[in-house]
Formats: sequence, structure tokens, C-alpha cells
Amino acid sequence: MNTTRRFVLGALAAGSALSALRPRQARAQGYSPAQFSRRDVNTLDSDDPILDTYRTAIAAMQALPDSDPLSWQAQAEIHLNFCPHGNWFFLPWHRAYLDQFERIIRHLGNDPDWALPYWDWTRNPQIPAPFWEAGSPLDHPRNIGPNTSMPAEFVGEPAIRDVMEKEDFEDFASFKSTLPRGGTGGGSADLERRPHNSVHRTIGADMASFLSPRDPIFWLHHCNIDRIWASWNAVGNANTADPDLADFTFEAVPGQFVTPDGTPKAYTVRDIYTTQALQYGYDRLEPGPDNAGNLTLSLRLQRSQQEVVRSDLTRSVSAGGILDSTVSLPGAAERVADTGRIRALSLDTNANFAAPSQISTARLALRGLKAPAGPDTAVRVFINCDYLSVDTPLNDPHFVGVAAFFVTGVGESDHAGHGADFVFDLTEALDALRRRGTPINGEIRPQVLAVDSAGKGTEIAIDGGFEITVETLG
Amino acid sequence: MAVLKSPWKHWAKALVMGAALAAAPVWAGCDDKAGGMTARSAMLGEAVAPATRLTLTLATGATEGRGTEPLTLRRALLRDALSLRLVDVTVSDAEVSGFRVFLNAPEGADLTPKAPSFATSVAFFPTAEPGKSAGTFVIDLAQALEKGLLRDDLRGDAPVQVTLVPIGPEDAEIGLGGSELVMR
Repeated sequence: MNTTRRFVLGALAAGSALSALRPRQARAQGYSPAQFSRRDVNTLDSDDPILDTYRTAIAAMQALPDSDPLSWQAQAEIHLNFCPHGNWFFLPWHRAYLDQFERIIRHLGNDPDWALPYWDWTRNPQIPAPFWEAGSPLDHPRNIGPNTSMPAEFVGEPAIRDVMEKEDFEDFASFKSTLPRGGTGGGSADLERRPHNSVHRTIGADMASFLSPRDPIFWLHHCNIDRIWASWNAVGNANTADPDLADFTFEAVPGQFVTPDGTPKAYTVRDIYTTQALQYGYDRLEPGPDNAGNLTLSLRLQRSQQEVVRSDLTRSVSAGGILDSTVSLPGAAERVADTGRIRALSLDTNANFAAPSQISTARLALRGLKAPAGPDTAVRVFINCDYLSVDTPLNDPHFVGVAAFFVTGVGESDHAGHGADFVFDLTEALDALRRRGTPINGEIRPQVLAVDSAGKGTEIAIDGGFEITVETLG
Repeated sequence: MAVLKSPWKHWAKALVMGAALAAAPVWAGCDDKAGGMTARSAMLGEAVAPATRLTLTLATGATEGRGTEPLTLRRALLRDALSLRLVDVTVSDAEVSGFRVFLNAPEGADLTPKAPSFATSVAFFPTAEPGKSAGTFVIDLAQALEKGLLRDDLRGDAPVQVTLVPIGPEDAEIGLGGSELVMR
């Protein structure tokens, strides 16, 4: 047996810590560096030229035959036939959709400086008054009245704070899918499933369907979604570099996006990752999260020491036999047992769990394990059990976990010449032994046995070893 | 054996937890019926028939070739990014506008957005059709767990449980085509 020990200091600060340390702007920046500034509709009077142009252009679009790609109905049918929802194409597709719409409004409204306003339903949760004026092109059948508020549960400040706290693009923008529609994967994340969906649903009628763009408020609603995306970027969060999204092109196909002369237009996602690339900006952005007092984050930042102890082992045992080897970890095992249990809930505001200055957790990796192949074979892992047999119950305090074998058999090798690798969390088992009063005395002895579905011991082999990692935070 | 420069990140990136999603709805879970309400409990990964309250107990390991183990609150909090993907959510009534998500809700707790166990909510778009998928939704469990740090009633060795409650008529039900944990 060859045992090695090493320490890794500071290495683990890399992943999460770096993302947490990204320079974030603590407050929103009002900015209009672009040619077109999108403004809050609630700062506009009903007769503001921005709303006048919008009315004029909508009336012109509604007067066009449905077959005209600039018509109100044709623009709505783009959404019906192409809109992606529930995946990461959601945000860029709608940004492109708004951009081509905005250019059409400039053209038909004869207002080359026009920019689409946004409806900030967090600050003003009722549909703005100009959209209820009888006979106005902005009016539209809805299931609610002018005094109905969008639900605070979905659009209130706490909900937007949850959205703005995301650090990963998919957590913010919805999950990866192979295609905008009909692909595999996906899943609506906070921004889409919460404020976006809720506003659609609450307004009802057309807004609750994929023909929602027939309601003029649709465009201002999505403009606010786009503003939140721009805000999220502005506080230091990056869009994904995954080429499956960044290099994806919404093709210039009939029925989708058009230029103001009716020609199909393509958008490549990478080219619309910033609002500046499309020459527009917002008069106000959302602030970034306040990370003060986030214990979990601070603990992650302090994850500074990792100790890895490895015990190389090549051995095989007959049916019912036990593979084991002692790994010496003086101090570390006890540290895990003492503090690992309270790792998760260690706020000093919680009377049950006083925060320790350091917290340690441990995990066990089994490398190169081989047993009879098949789903009927499982390995059971224990530590420091002097009476271990195939009959030892899984609720025994020495129990660590179980694993199933699917492909690797005893005496067989995969193409790389290895058996199977498994990883288990040791923290709870160490804590269970501490609570039981069983001393560990600085030595952890992983024990592995294999059983079939009838609970009968089978042969097992290892060509690799045991590796225990103790991680200390604080 | 190769030295792992950063086993923690290496392991975490590779790990996508949860049982394989059921291709066809083979309903799982156990029921607790009272007063016309159905509370149903199930394990992560299972398709679950509609119920007025649906509680998932989260576990790890099956797709990695390891045995299924309960995911405890403490282990969950160690993750940098942990999401619960609820696949093909179904509801019994078109009046259901969405659902609420609660983390380790105590027995008999008030399941409203003001409850300490409230994690987040989901709205449907477009309007859900009864019995058909209303979509696949991702719940940021890491964020929900951090909110849970302020609670006095949680213990680190408790398994992570997520309860889904429809928003709509009192007897409305919610079901799942499957579920999985995703960690990056």
C-alpha cells in the first residue's frame, strides 16, 4: 500500500469565488449611450410623441392586409409560429423580435428617432392608462380592468431581486435547449417563469396565448424583460459563450423577422448580446444584488484548504469478502465530525447552530472498483466497522452509501484499463460515529463489499485505491 | 492514478444527479387523502400523478452509477449551483395559473408566499390545458437554500424536500412527468 498526502491551499477559491468576486456595480446606471433611448412609459404623458407615434404606426399596421409582413396580424403570427419559450433562446429571440418591430414602427410612424417604451410593472403594476382609452389603437380586449395590478408575488421587488441575483446565464435566462422549438433540454428559469409568464397570464385574452403580440401592451412588457436582461449584464454578468447559443442564427425565412421594406432579416445571437449592438439603451436599469451578509457566499469565498489522502490498492476478494484499507488523517477526521454536521446551518442567528470559525467536510472516492457486471450487483461502503458483514444493515452508523454496477465486471477492464469510480460523502458517517461515541482516532478505514439482489455477497476487486478529500472552510 | 488538481470542481461539473426521467407516465409516490385533498410524496425522478400537494424528496447518484442517497440540506448547501428541473408539469384545471414551491415545509404549515418555507413561484404561459404539459421549469435550489438559512426549524441532516402547490381552485391538482437535479 502506498499512501500519499498533499495539501492544496487556496486552489478551491477559483470557481465560485471568482464569479462571486466579479466586479458588480452596486447601483443601477441610467445611461443612454446609444442612438435610441427606450423610456419608462409611466414617465410619458398620454399625448407624448412616443405614444402618438405608436398609435399612428399601429393603426397603419392594422390597416394592412394580413398577408403583408408588416401588418399587425403578420407581426403577431411571427410569435405564434416561431417564438421560443422555456429555453435559452427566449431572451435573444425576443430581443430580435422587438428590434425589427421597433424599426417597422419608426418607418410606418414616420418617426426615425422613435424608441419602444417599456412598462416597468414592478414600479407601476397596472397597465398604463393610455392603453385603456376607448377607440385608441392601444386599447385591446383583456380579462382585467385598469385597476388590476400585476401580482406582487411575481413582479414585486423580491421577485426581481431573485432574478438579478443569478450569476449563471442559464439560471437567469432559462436552460439550454438544442433548438428554439422542439429541441431537447430546456426549462424556464426565474425571469421567464415568474414575471414574464405571470404578466401574460394575468392580463389574459390574447396576452395569455401565443398571439399575445396582438395586444399593444405585449411589446412594452417584453421591452421590460429585455431591460432586465440589459440590467443583469450591466452589473457584471456575462452571457453564455456556448456556441450552441452564441453562434446560433435566427434565419431570414419567410414569416419571421423582416426589415421595414418587408425583406426577411436574420439575427445571430452573438450580434445582439448587447443593446448597444442594436443601437439602443434604457433610461434606467435595475440595480445589482446586495451580497452583504450572505454567509454561504462568504464561506465559499473562504474555501481555502483541501487535504487529499490517497491509499493505492490492488486486491481482489472472494464472495462476501471485504476490501479495506486504512487511511491516516490525524486531526482532519475529527474536525469533519465536529463541524461538518453544522456546515449547512451555521448562522449565529440560529440558536441551535453556533457558527464555528472553521468547517470541514469529507468525501471518499473509490477508484478502479470491479464487481460482477449487471444491475443486480451493488457495492456497500462502510467505514471503521469491526463487525461488518453482508448482513450489516444500511442504517448502521458506520454506513456510508451504496452504488450499483452496470458495466464493469471482476477481471474485466474498460478501454482505459480501469474499473469504476465512485464518490461518497463521508461527512455524515463521521458525524454519526461521533454522536455514537465511537472514536475515529485519526484513521478512516473505508470498507467495501459487493452484494447481489438477494443480499448474497459476491466477489469484488479494486485496481486503484481509496482517496479521501477533506475540505476546510473559514 | 492521476492527481486531481481540483477534485471538488471536477466532480461537481461532471455530476448531474437524479434518476432517469420516465419516458411514459408510470405514476409513483404514496398518497395521503383527507377532506378531498390529496397529498402525494415521491422521490426525485419519478413521474407523479396529479395531487393537490406534491412533495418530492431529493436524492443523488442514480445517473452516476451510484446508489441513490437522500440529499441532505447540508450537502445541498455545499453546491455552488443546484437546480431542480421539473419536467412536463401538468395540472387538472385550466384555472390553475401556476404553482408555488416550498422548501421543507413543516407538517400542516400554511403554504402561502408569506410562509418561511416559501421558495418561489411559477406562472404558466400560455394558459395550461388540463392533463397536458404546461412546461418544464427550473427551480434555483441554491437560492432557496440560502433563504432557508434564516429558519430555525431546519437541520442539516434533513433530506431536502420540495412541495409543489397549485395556484388556483382549492381542489386543483398538479402532477409531474419527471424531475432531476442539475448542478454546474
